[in-house]
Amino acid sequence: MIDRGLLWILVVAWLVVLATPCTARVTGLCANCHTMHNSQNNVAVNSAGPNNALLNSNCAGCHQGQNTGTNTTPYVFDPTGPVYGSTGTESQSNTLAGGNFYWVAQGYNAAGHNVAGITSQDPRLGNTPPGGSALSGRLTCAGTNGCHGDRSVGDSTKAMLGSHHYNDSSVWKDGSTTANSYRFLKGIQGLEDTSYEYHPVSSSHHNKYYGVARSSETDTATGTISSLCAECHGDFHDGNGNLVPASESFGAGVWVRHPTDFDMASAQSSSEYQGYNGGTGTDNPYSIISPVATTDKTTTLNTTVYSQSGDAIVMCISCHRAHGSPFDASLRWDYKSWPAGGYNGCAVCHTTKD
Amino acid sequence: MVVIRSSPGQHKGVCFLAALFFVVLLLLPCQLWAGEYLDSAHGSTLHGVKRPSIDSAGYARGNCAHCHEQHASIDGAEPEPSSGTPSPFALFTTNFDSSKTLGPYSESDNFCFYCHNATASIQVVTNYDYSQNFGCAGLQVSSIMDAFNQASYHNLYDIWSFARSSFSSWFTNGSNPCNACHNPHLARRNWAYPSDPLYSAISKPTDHFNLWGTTSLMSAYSYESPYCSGTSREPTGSGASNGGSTPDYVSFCTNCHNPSNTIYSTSLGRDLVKIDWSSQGDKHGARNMDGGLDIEGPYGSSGGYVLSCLDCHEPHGSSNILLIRRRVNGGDLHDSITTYSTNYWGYLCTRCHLDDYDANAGTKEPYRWRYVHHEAPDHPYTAMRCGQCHGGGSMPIPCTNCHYHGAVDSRTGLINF
Repeated sequence: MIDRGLLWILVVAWLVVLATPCTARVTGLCANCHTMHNSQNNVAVNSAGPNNALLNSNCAGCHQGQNTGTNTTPYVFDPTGPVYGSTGTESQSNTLAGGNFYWVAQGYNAAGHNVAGITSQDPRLGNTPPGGSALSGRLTCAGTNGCHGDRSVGDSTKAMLGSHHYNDSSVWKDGSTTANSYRFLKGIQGLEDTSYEYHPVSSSHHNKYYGVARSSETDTATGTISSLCAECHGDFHDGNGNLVPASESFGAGVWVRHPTDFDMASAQSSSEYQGYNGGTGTDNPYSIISPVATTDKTTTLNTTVYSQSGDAIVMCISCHRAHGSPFDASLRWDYKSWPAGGYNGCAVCHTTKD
Repeated sequence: MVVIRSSPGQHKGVCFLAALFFVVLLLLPCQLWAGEYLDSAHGSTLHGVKRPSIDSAGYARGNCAHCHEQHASIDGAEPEPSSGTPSPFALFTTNFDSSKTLGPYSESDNFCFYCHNATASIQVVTNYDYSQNFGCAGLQVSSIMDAFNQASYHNLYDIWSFARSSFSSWFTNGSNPCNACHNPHLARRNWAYPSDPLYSAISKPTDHFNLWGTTSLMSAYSYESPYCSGTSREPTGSGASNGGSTPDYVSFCTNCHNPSNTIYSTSLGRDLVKIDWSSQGDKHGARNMDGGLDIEGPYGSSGGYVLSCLDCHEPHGSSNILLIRRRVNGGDLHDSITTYSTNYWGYLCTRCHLDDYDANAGTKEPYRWRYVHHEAPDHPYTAMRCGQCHGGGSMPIPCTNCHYHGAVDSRTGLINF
């Protein structure tokens, strides 16, 4: 006979398990995302014709809405106008780690990626990303001309096969498959915040980005979030002569472009970076305003910086939002208006430049 | 409940203190302390950097983008001026052309000259020479580049070359020689507040990441600020007489120009004379004087002064040789000093020392020195065996035969500088 106390404990444990939020794997009714016949009550679900994978909609269709903190689908495009604040991290903000496509969709072309289906083509750049070569077509969410999914597959939807149903945000994403890649960016590593950095908290709740502490500008830093950016904006990340003048060595402090995938702890020319985010060079608090990547691949969240080797790595998204922001160059803060106004997020790292 | 009781007298005392505290608060100056860069000349929202192409793109004045291009482009294109290639320190063009070993300089030789140049293409910044800005002289040059493009100048290639080897912890091949003395992210508008050393524009090469001279002042020495105009003192006529308004330029300059460092001058084609400003070195430095002192005000005959390098020298360039100022101790030099071996040096010396005219003795002629050399009570040389000093030539002889940094009369052992 089972002891009543033990039974009670088991019941409580089971309830706890049930109440634990899922780790971003798609849940719920199939019909939330799929339609078997592109028809519901004799009306076409998608008037333009059925979608691949029997989907109700496309990427933008599903990931469109206003984040509330309770939505399990991350909304990257809020056509009603999201609240960003000064840095996208304030308590009133309702954008996520990648920012939001709203502003670029409003025609502010410099404020984000001009992704097909969400925005019109950038009239200044066409399909040629700064620092890279022309794409074969419009920028898309996924696939050959996109960022997410398998970038060797042309079709956006096909590129995402095997992702949403196999996601597990509780583990370190090692990039081995699309599902095992950080935010389904195939090949990219990292640890995903389960709420996509809705109201991130430095000490407990944010993404953990993977970086490489490079010692050479020709190192492509495979698997890092910055290496993904480099697939289009290559000159800004790696390549002979793209970061360091011929007369200097990598890391000596003379850059011709702002470095990424570089550990600030290796900076030889200045010690100002040791003051990262108000710290002293040991166990500095992690900044959700200007985050850094780490070489650490464990599921332990990097809540401090300058705590271990390779944990202060500059990355593209230390300064930029991948999807969009209200600001030029899709920056995380209003750099352009500083110092008269705006916000100097640069000073999180460049601590003497404030 | 705790009740604190006080007598009416105590109550009045507390009220008075509270009122006094409030009044003191009101009287405190309303100051908004910005960061180091925002306090700098370049980061100022009123006076800071402003590149036309960046300004028209909507960037605020003082923004980093006026000098730096983080990706060697903005919006997929390189803003003007377009150099075509990314530049060191992510600057908009080459920092310094190290093939330029001698002046005169042009804008493209040095990144700083794109603004610090009277006809600059980016932003015309007006700067006067030290003689004018701090020494009450009239106008001669109106930009830093113009100051360099004179008879003598602080050779930029030599600075760059020396700094690469001596300050390699932060100074690299791609660095700008101006940065040896100035940190562009810290340097303040000293020229606008010439008697307030808190607005220092200089950083010691060995301490590049801090301003120098804000609290380290010439008043730490036995220093007398020279006249600026009339009996007013440098800097700019409102300086403290004891050097309390003047940065410690001795420590600053001797960071490089000291007895240890060998510095080659491409301009002169030789190593520079080593400067020993210690008590074992020059009398114009900390060495005690010997004999008397026949001297002009504000200096007194008791001597014992330590001069600032900038009492006699310009930091950037001069119409005289060897960076000699055109105005010293409250008066302009009678004429330019254009050659080394000349007695025209008297134009400089007489700004502080009594020549025959001022002494009303000797030849009684201006810029002649018979009195101090041969007739003054402490005269060092008896007027006999003239040829030992004067040779067979005509008198007077060039000052520089005997007087220069580190000069010692090998015959008499006298310290001659």
